[in-house]
Amino acid sequence: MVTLEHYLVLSAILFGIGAIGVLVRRNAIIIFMSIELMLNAVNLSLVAFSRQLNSMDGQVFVFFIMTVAAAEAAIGLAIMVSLFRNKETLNVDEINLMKW
Amino acid sequence: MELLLFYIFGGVAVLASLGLVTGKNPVHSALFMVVVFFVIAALFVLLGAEFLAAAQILVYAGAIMVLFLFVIMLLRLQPEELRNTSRHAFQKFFGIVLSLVLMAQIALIVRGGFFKGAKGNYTPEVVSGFGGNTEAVAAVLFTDYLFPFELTSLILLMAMVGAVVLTKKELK
Repeated sequence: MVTLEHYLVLSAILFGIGAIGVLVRRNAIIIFMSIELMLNAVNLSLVAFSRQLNSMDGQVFVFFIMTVAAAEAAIGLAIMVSLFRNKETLNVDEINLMKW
Repeated sequence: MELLLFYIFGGVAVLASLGLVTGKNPVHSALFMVVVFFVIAALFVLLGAEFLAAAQILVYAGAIMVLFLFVIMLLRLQPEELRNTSRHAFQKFFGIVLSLVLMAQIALIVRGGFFKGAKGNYTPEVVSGFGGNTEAVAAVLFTDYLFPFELTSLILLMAMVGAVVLTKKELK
């Protein structure tokens, strides 16, 4: 029997791997993919709770998160295209215009 | 049987996401990301959320992945962009340690079993009475969440306009 805990532990592992990607990688596109991975891990735990609690609200939330993730991907990749056009790099260490 | 499928899909998800994070080439990472999305769709099916599984494959494995691959190919990253700089060993070490601590903390809380919410009305019998998962999701989405649903159209419109404005060459 697969319990709620199985899904939540898997979700925690995927979220942690996504966090490692955000903290360790320097390529902006791979950082962005890691953020998508973290969003997916949270979606998984929402659907698991939705089944556990016999409620449809969790699945509706996941639907909204997918919409926001699609919008975020479009905007984020547009930002990356204009960033690359201006600085010729996607290494986040060299993108330090707002740092002092 | 369900447990076996869960371990297969879960194992593939963990391995593919490790491949995503460690991949040297962004194209390889994008393809590993597709594997993760498909496996999570399979887990949604195991959880009885068929509508979300279909939406996951259409939106993530279809639209978002194509967007990523397009941008990776448009940007023609030079080899030095692909190389992972080694001067960040300190930051890398702490990033991995802190993420592992975070992972362990979440898993520990989850194992404690503090989640005792009130049960909702949508038992499997009620859902099959609606005619399936998709109908049940629609019944909630178009009644209780109608206004947020309409607002998502505004978010998508803003994303569309924003993407066009950001990638435009020069504003006249």
